Amino acid sequence: MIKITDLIRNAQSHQQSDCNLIVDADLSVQEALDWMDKEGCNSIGIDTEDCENFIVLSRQELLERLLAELDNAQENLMRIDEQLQCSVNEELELIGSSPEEPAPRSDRTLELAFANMTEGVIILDGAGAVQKANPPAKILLGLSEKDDCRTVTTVMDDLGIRELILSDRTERTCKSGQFRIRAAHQKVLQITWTQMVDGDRQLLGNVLTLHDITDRLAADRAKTEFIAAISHELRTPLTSLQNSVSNILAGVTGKVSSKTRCYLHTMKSDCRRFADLINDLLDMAKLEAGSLPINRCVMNIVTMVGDVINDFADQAKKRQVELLCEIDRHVSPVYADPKRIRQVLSNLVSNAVKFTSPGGRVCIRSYDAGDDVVTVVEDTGVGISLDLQKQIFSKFYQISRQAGPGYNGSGLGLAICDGIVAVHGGSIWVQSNEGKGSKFYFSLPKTNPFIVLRKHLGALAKRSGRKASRFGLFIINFDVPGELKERLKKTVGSLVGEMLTEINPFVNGTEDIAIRTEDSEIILVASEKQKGYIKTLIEKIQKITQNNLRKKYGNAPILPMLGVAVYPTDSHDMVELEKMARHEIRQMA
Amino acid sequence: MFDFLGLKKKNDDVKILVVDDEPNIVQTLQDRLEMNEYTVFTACNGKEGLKKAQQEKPDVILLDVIMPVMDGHEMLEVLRKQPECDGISVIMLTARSQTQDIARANACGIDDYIVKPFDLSELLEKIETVLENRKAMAK
Repeated sequence: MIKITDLIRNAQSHQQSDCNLIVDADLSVQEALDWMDKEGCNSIGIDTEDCENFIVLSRQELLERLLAELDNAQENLMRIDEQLQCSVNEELELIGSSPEEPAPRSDRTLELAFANMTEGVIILDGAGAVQKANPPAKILLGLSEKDDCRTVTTVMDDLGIRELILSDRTERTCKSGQFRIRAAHQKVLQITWTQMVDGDRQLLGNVLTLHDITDRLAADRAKTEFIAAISHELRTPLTSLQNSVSNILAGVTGKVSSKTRCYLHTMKSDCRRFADLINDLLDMAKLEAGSLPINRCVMNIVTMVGDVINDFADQAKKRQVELLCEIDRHVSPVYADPKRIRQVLSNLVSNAVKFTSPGGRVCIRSYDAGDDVVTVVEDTGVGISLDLQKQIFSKFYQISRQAGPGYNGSGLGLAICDGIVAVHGGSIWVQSNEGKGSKFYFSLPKTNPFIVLRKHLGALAKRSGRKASRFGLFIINFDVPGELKERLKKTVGSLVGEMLTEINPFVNGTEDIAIRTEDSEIILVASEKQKGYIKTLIEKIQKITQNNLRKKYGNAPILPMLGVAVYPTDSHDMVELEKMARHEIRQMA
Repeated sequence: MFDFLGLKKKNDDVKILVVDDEPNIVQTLQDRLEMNEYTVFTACNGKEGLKKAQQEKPDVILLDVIMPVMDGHEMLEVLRKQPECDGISVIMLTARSQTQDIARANACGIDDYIVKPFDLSELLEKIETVLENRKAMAK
C-alpha cells in the first residue's frame, strides 16, 4: 500500500494551507483520493511533522507523483531480476548446462537431482495420474527416456501398479506401502509408495520409488541353492555312517560287546545331532532367502502342546524336571503351518528342559490375547541376564557358551524360531531373571482362512480385470459320508496335510495361493500361466488326489471331490465363483 | 537269535532292488536287508536299475533321486511306462526334503519316500507297510 508520505519527498512546503482538507501523511493514497471525492475538493493539505508547514498537492499532482513512484519501483524490480538472472546463469554454466526456462535456483537443483539419481522415481498427482517420472523410472518400466507421462501411465496401468496402491490405501488408512511386481524383461521391481500430504492435510499425490531387485533375488536364490547342494553332499556320507552304526548295533556283523555298544550309541546320537545341525542350516538359509515352504492350515495349539510334552517326557524325567502345561481349552485356532509351529515349540521346550536343573519345573501355557494367541514356555532354570536377552535371537548366538560345558546346539535354534514366527506374522520375546528362570513368549495372529482367501481373490480380480488373465478356483474336499466321518477324521486330516504339501509346488508367484480352510478342505487359486494350464492342472490334481487316496485307503469308498470354477469365464464375481465350485462338488457327491 | 515262530522265513521270497550311486549306502542297505532275509539286487544308476528291474521283477525298489547317467525321476518315469514292470512298489530315498521332489515322484506313482539321512529301522518299517499293502491289494 502506497502512503502519501511516500509521495511528498521533494515537495515544496507552504506556510499555510489554503485548502479546506488537511490530511495526515500516514494516510494511504487511495483513502486520500476517496476523501477528496467525498468532500468535493481538488487539492489536499498534508500535515507534516513540522507543525508550521503544510504541503499542498492537487489531485493531478498526487496522481503524477503516484505514477512516478510506480515507475521507480518497477525499474528497481527489473534491476534485481537482471542481477538474479546473471547469477543463476553463472551458476548454471558452472554446472555445465544452459537453461531452457529460467527457474529459481533451488527448483532447478531439485530437478537435476531428480533426473540424475539412480533410483526410479515417479510422482503421481492427487487424481493418480503421472505428473513426473525420471529417466531411470522409465527405463525400469521398459520405456525409453523420451516417453511422456501419458505412456508411463499406460504402462503402469498394464502392470496394475496404480490399482495396487489404491487397493492398499482403501483397505487400511495407510500412508505408505511396498510391493513387488514383475515388469518388462523379466525384471522384478520393488515399489515403495508414500503419500505426499500438504500442511493443511490435503493429499497432493503419491511419490513412488522403483528398485530393481532382480539381481538381489537371483543372489538369494543362488545362496539357497548352494546351501541345498552342500547339505546334500553332507547328508550322503552321514547316511552311510548312520546306516553302518545302525547295522552293527542290529547285529549284522555278529555279537557286539557292551563296551562297543556304548561307543556305537554315542556315534548314533551324534549322527542325529549332525543331521539336526544340517537341517537347522538349511532352514536358516531358506528363511533368509524367504523360500521356506509354509503350509498353513487352521490349527489348534492346545493339541500340539500335548504332543510336544509327550515328546520331551523322557528327557525331562531323566533330568528330573517337571514338565507340565496349563491350557485354556478355549484358545482360538490359529492359521499356521503345524510342522513349523511344532518346531518352534519343541525348540523352546528343549531349551527350557536343558537349562533347568533337577527339581525344577517347565510349564507351557497358551491363551488368547486380543487378536493373537500367545504361548509361553516358562522354566525355573538358569535365567538370562538383561544384556544377553538382547542378543539371544540372533544367529549363531549360543547361551551354552556362557552356561558351560554340556549344553550344546547349533546356535541357530532361537534365530529359526524368530524367523518362523515372523513369517507367520507373529512375534517372539523373552522375560528372564538371572538365576530365577526364563519365560519365552511367542504370539500368532488368530486368522480366519476365508478372510485371507477373499482378500486374495479380491486383489487378483482387480489386477486380472485389466490384463484379462484367467485364473482357476479349485476346491478339493474330502468330506466323507456320515458314519465314516468320525472314524476317518484323523486320517483325512493327515491326508489333507500331505495333499497340501504336494500341491504347494504348483503354487507359483504372488498370484497363486493354496490354503486349508478346514480339516477336510483345500482351496487353491492358480492363474493361467500359458494357454491350457488350468486344464492340465485339473488333471494333475485329480491324479495327486487319487494317488494319495489309494495310498491311504486302498479301495475305500471315499471320492476325491474337486470343484473348479474359472475366472472370468464362469463368473466375474468372487462369491459366485466359490459357489459354483462348491456346486460342482455337491453334484459329484 | 532263535526263531521260534518262523518269522524270519517270511521275507524269503521278497525281492528288493536298491538303486543308489553311493556304494557305501548300497552296501549298508544290502547288509541290513539280507539280515532280514530279503533277496537283494543292486544298481548304481537309473539305467542299470531299469535293466535289473526288467530282469529280476523285484517287489520293491529303493530308489535314490540324484544319480549320474539317469536319475531317479527319469528312471521312475520310464519304469511306469513299461507293462512288464507293472505293479512294482517304489520307495524314494531323497536327500532333499523339498516338496518339489516328492510331488514330481508322486505324479508318477510312488508308494512312499524317506528323507536322508534316515534311520534304517524306519526304512524297514516302511518296506513292511508297502509289502502288507501289496498283499491286501492282491486279495
